Amino acid sequence: MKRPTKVLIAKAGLDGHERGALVVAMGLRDAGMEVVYTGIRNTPEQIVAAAVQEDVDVIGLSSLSGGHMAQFSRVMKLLKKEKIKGVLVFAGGIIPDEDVKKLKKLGIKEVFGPGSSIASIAEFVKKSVRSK
Amino acid sequence: MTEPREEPGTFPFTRGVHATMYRGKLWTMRQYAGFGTAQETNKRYKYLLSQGQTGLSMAFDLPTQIGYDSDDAMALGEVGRVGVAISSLADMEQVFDGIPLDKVSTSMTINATASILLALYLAVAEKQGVPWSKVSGTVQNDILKEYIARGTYIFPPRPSLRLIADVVEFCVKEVPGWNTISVGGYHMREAGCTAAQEIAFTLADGIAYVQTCVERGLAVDDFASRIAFFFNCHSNFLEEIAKFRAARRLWAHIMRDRFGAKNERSMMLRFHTQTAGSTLTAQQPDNNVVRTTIEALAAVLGGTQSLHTNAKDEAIALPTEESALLALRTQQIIAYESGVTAEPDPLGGSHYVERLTDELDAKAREYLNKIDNLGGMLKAVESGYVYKEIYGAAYEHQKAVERKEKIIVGVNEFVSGKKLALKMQKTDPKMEPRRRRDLAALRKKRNRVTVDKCLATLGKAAKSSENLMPILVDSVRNYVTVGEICNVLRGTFGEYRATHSI
Amino acid sequence: MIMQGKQLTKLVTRLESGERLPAELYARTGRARIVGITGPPGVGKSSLIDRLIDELRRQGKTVGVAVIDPTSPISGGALLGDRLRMQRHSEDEGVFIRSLATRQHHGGLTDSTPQIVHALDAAGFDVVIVETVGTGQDEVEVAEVADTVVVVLMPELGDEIQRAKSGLMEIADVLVINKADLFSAGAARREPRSQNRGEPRSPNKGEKWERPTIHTSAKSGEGIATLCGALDAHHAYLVSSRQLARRRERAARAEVIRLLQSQMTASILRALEAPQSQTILTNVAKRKLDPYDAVGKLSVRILGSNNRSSKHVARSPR
Repeated sequence: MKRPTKVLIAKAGLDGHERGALVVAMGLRDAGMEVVYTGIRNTPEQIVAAAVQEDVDVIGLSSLSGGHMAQFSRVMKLLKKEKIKGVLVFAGGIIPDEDVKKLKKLGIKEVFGPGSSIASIAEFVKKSVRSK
Repeated sequence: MTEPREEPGTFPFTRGVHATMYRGKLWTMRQYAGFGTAQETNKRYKYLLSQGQTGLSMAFDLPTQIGYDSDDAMALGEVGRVGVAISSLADMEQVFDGIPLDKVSTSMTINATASILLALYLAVAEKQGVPWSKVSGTVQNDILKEYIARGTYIFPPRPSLRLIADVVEFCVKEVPGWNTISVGGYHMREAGCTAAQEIAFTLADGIAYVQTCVERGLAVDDFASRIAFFFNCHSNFLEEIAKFRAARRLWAHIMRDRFGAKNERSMMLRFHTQTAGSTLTAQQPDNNVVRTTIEALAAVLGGTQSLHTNAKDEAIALPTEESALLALRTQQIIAYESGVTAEPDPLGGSHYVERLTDELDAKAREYLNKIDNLGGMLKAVESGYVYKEIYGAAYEHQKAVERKEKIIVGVNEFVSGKKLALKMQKTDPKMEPRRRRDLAALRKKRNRVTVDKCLATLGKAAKSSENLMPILVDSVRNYVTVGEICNVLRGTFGEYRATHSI
Repeated sequence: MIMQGKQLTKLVTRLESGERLPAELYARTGRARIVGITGPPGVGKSSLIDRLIDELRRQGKTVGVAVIDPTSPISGGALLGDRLRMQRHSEDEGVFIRSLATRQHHGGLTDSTPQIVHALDAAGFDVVIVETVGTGQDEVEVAEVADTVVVVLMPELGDEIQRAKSGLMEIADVLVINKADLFSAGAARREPRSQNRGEPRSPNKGEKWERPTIHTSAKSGEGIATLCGALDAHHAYLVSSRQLARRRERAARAEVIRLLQSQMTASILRALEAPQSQTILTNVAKRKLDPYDAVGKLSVRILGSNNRSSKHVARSPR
């Protein structure tokens, strides 16, 4: 029996704004996924450890304070180091266009800026997980 | 609900806290600023003051807000990003270099570390030769909303409330011109709550703080007039005007009937407003100028005492000089060209606005009763009730937008083919290493013996119930850093652990 | 630790999906202490576990945790928000935390909880904690997997008497009143049966277990050491009184019955797909055939098919 898609929604760094992350988490739940939400103030190490223990298919990283490059690139490095394969990583929040390119080079599949709809994120996750 | 013949400047102040409002004196145009280094902030302040801004507003970076020095491991990647990095008196002196503190009023958006930042400000005043009785400004100092909507908490609720009361008690005696708490609804609204919830949760926070100070032994009329509020101004023009009116009416009753205030100044809800950041869009950013104008106008018609208008690029990053200036001009045009300042509460008496005021008043009271039944706002926050309400509302809003029940121009309707890229302010990548070097130099230069003595005294005082402000001022005078102070306090008070979830 | 990290997590995922636990792993189970923690939503179970982990780790014990949250019946999805309160233990190699959704299973656990508990046991954790939501009569399944059941409540005046009658109290080996700090100074503490608040002691052989009531504050840490003491005492009691063996027998029985039921249900549903079965059902609907007679006819068909079923445990499709 195929299990529902499992997603980790994580906030890295010191940023404490949860609205975006929570709305996406609730949206993905209503799209039939099992969503683990980490709360705020996670280090990249804690995020990756949670992703492993929960055996997630997807990681959604949220950042609004501008620290995304340092934090997200560390997450991607750790995923590589732990040889974690097949996990889809996407990001959301306040991320400038030029950083989007850099993040995609690191392996983050998509970056959702302000105004993105849950429907588009859910669609993206479903399509990407299907094609694995 | 409507008192017979409500008049501006008279209880319950629905129509405004002053009889003449802007006829007598305009609202303070207070644009949020502060980013990167202390020198850059100093330069921007001098520029804004020269352009007619009448009050300074200070934003701090996350490490400063959460009690970490710029060279702390926890600060990595966050130094100077969302505001100025302040780790010691040296930084604070740089920010206000050439800015006499008896000539300006400074509002500091700082909460968990408010007591420390206030101590730093007072130490700067001291060095400038300005007596504390001449110093004016605000610290936000509003920890309850941090646990649910903003996240810059450090310690658990009880010691945090103690620190808040320490600030209030200290200022009653030593800094009478200081607004000791700015109870905020802005952030909870940004987090997604409704207008009625914004009123209720904000006033409930205010009730909790007043209660704490009263339990400390302070007389309500001694401190209540120095508690100010900070509201959001959102896109529904008429509802927002009604919201401010309802909030004033409710607070006046709470102060008089619940807390027994006798002085009318204790019953006046005075507030700063910021136009809603969450209504700004990255798509078609020029639209944001229009949004901000409508929101600013609502705040003025709603009788705000002080106003920050968002720059059009505030949705994406810290604003550029050009867009910050336009935001200020928006207020000036409303103030000097639109004529709305001629009468206080010009929309008072409008059938619709009065009806909206009564409705919001009633809805907010329902929430306040619910919170009372839960045992007060502290328990309501700890139980997760407020968290669920806010983010539940946020989710409903998102669904409404995606179902096109709520239209956002340029985002889900009237979309233009091209998405405009904004020019953004970048923070200097060399800043963090420079901060580390500066702090290392400072630590070397200081008298280590004095520093350790201050920290030891602080640790002891924190365990007792004495007011910490004097020792905090003494510590920062001796260049003890924000992080060093907080580490001692973390040791005594513990750290707050988020316990609620949806 | 025998199994950790990726190896363990992948195993748990397979178990979640209905695969069977390898026999050689099952042979290794029985060493860990299984603690079930249940109670109504909002009482602070997860925060309590967060503190318990602190204390257990301080004692040098390794801890595996399974936290269960309900699946939404409408969307089939779930918001698993308990981990948030234990997230700071994520990097501790002596701790493993896994969130599970009930996936329409009723009773408080998930279909695969017993197997997942076995996996954590076999992996080498000293203590395995299972957290479930328990509001009343229905959600008492946790008693089927746990050696010690902790029921967590909050001080609510008046409701205590209700709890006394509910199924939860019947399965509680230890009663915890959390959020002790929420007591206002004057409020009377009313509890189902007045219990001594002191150190719980392990009764002597032959004595009955006296359920202790422990007041805790997950926020301040008050009462956590006492709670750990109670868990130790209960375990000692189980061992000395042979109750442990009896509980394990009960758990084994419950697990096998579940698996049998699951297998049977799968057979039943398979059998009902046959056209002849459809005809039988239609006749019942048309009042041409009595439901009990229908069962008689179908039983023959089902029992026949069950004998031919595969050795792999089938999970009934939902």
